[in-house]
Amino acid sequence: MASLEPAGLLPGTLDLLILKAVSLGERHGYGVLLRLQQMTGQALTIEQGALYPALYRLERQGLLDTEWGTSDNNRRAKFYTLTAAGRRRLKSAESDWLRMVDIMGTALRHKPGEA
Amino acid sequence: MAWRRRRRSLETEMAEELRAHVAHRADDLETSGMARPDAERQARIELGGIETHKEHIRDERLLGRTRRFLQQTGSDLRLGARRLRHAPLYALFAVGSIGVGAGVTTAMFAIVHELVWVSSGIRNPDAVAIVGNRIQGALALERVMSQPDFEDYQGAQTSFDSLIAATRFSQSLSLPNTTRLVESEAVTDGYFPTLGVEAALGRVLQPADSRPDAPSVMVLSERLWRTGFASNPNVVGQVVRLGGTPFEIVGVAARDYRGLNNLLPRRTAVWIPLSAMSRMPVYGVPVAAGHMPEPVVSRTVPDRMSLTMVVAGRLKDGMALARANAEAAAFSVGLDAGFPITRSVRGSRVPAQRQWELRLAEHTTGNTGLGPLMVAIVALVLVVACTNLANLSLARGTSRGGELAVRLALGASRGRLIRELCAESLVVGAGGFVAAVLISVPLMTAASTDLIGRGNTIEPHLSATVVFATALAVGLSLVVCGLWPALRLSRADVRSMMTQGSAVLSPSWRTERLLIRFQTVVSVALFCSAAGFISALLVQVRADPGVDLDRLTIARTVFRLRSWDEARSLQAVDRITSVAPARFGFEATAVSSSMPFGGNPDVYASVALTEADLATQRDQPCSWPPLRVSSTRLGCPW
Repeated sequence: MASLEPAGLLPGTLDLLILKAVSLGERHGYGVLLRLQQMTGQALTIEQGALYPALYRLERQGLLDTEWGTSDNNRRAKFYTLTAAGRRRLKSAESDWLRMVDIMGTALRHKPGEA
Repeated sequence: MAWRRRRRSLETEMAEELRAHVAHRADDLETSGMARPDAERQARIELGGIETHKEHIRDERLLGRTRRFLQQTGSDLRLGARRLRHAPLYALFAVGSIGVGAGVTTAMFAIVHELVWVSSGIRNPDAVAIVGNRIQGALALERVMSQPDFEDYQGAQTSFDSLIAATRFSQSLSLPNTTRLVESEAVTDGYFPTLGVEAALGRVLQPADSRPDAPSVMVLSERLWRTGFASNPNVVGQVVRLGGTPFEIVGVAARDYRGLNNLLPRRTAVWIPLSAMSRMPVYGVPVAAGHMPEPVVSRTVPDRMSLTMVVAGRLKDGMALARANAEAAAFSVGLDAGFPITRSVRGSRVPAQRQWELRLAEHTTGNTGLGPLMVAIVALVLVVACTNLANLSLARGTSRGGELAVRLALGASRGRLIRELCAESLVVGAGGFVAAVLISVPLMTAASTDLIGRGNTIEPHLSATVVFATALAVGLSLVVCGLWPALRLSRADVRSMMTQGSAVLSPSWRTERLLIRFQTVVSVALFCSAAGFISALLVQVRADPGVDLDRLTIARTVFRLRSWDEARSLQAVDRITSVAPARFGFEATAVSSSMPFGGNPDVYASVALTEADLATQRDQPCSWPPLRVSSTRLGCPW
C-alpha cells in the first residue's frame, strides 16, 4: 500500500501547532520543526520558510518567550517557551478546533434520511 | 537611533538563528552518513532562500500590520501618480483648483489670524478690566474719563490691585532713515506691571520716569523696533524725536503686546510717561523760536470734560467683576453729582452723564465673530473649486467605469477601489498643498502693504497654525473632490456600469443637484466680482493724471487745524514751502488744502513736492516739521 502524501497545512493551523509543540517543552527553531514532524507523523508538510515568521509573529504577540542558550549539539540557539498568554491562547484554540472537528465530522457523516 | 539599534539587533538575531537551523539540520544529515559539506549544502537547500525568510520575518516582527499598510499605501500612491501622469491636463487642473482655493483661504485665514485672533499680550487678561463709558447705549472703551476723574477714582476704588490710565495720540516719530506717524500712549505709573507686560529688550517704564525732573524716555513696540530700527540690539539709549521732542529709548515691549486697543489701526508703537507728554510742543509748553507755533489749546489741561484717557486695572484676587462694576458705576454717579460735564453735539454743548462699566480685557481685544465670517466668505472659492473638481473626478471616473466594473466583478473589494481612488486624490492633494502655500505667500505679502498709512501694517506669515489651516483646507477639499467621488464610483452597480456606462453616475441625489446649482451661482457671482475688479483696475492703470508721476512725491504734515487759528496755519504752510526746497532738494513745491490724487478726509494741510533726488531725500532724517511721505512714487505699480 502506497504511503499517503503529506498534506498541506490548513490556513491558520501552523500557529496552533507551534504553540502545541512548544507547550511540550522548551525548543529551538529547528527543534520545533522536528517536534511538529514527529507530532504529525510526517503527515503534514511544514514549510521551513513559514516556520520562522510564525515564531516571530507569536513572539511579537506575546504568546512565546525566547532565550538564547546551548542546544544538545553544543550549538548556540534561540529557545522558545510558552508564556501564560500563550497557554491561554493554546487552550482556547484547542477547544475551538476540537469543536470544529466535531461539527465537521457530524456534518460529513450525515447520511440521507437522517434527521 | 533606538529604532536603528533595535533593527540591527533583530538582523543579527535572525541571521544567527537561521545559521543555527542550518547547522542543526546539517548535524542530523551528517549523523545519517552525509559528508559535512554536502550536509550543509542540503540543509541550506531545504531551508530555502534565507533572504526571503528574513524579509518575511521583518514583515512580521518589525512593523507587522503598519508596514504592510504603508507598503500598500505607497504602492497605491505610486499607481495614482502614474495615472495622473497619463492625464496631465486633469492633474494640472486639479492641483491648480485646490491650490488656488486653499491658497486664497489660507491667506485670508492668516490675515484674520493676525488681525483678530492674536494674543493681547496681557498676562491673565481675565483678571484685567477695562473701564468703559456708556454713551447713548454704546459702550466706549476709549476717551472714557478725564485725568482728574481718573485720579479721584484711582484714590477711592477698592476693587483693583492697581489702576492705570493712558492717553492715546498719533504723532510723528523720527526714525533712522525716515519719519513715521505712530500711534502712541502716554501712560500713568504702573502701566506695564499692571498689565503684566515685560520688556523684550531694555526695560519698561518705571515710576522714576514720571518725576518732573526725569529725562523723557520711551518704550518701543517690538514691531516698531523690528521695522523701524532693523531689530538693532543697541537701540536702548538712542535718542529719537517724537513730535519734535527728544526721547531716550529705554526698552522694547514684549512682542505680543500691542497696546490697550489691539485692533487696527490703533496698535500702539511707542509708550511714554504721561508726565512727559506735557513737554511735547504740540501738547504742552510753548516752543522755542524757529520751531512750529504751539497749539492754541493744550490737550493736557486738567479739565474734567477733557475725556482723553483709557483706563484699566487688575482686579484684586477673588474680586467679582460685578462687584467692581457696581463700585465703578456708583463712583461715576457720585462724580456726576459733584462735577457735571457736557459733551459737544453738532457744535453745542449738551449735558452728559458718566456711566462707567467694566469689561474684561480678554473680551475687548478683538476676538470678534467677523474673522470666521471673512474666512467663510473666501472659502467659497475653495468650495467652488472643490465642487468643480469633484464633478470632474466623477466624469473621469465614468470613463474608467468599465475598468472599475471588471475589477469589482473579479472580486476586488469596494474598500480596495476606494483606497486606490483616494490615493490618487492624495497625490493631487500633496500638489495642491504645495501650490496653496506658493499662492498664499505673495497674497500675504500683498496684505502686508501699509494701506492705512500709519505704519500699522499687519504681518500675516506662514506660522505653524497657518500651515495647519492650509493642510486642513486641502484635507477638506480631498473629502469633497476625492472621497465623495470615490464612494459614488465604488457604489455603482457592476451590471449597470457595464450595460449603461456613465448613466448610472449622473447626479441622482437632490443634494448633488443642489450642490451643482450652488456652485454655478457662486461661480457666476465670483466671476462678476472679478470682472468688476479687473475693470476698475484697468481704469486705474490707464488713467492719465496729467502730470509726471514718476518725479512726484506727496508729503503730508499734521497741523491739527482744529487747535490752530487760520493765521497760525498759514504761517506754518509758508514756513514749510520756504524750507522744503532747500532742505530736501525739491525742484518745486505746491500746497493744497486736501490730498491730491485720491483725497484726504482728515483735516490736514497737504504739501505736494516735486522731488529732484528721491533717494537723497529719503535718506535724510526728517525731524521737524513732521513731513511724512505718503507715497514716494505715484506711478501705477502695475
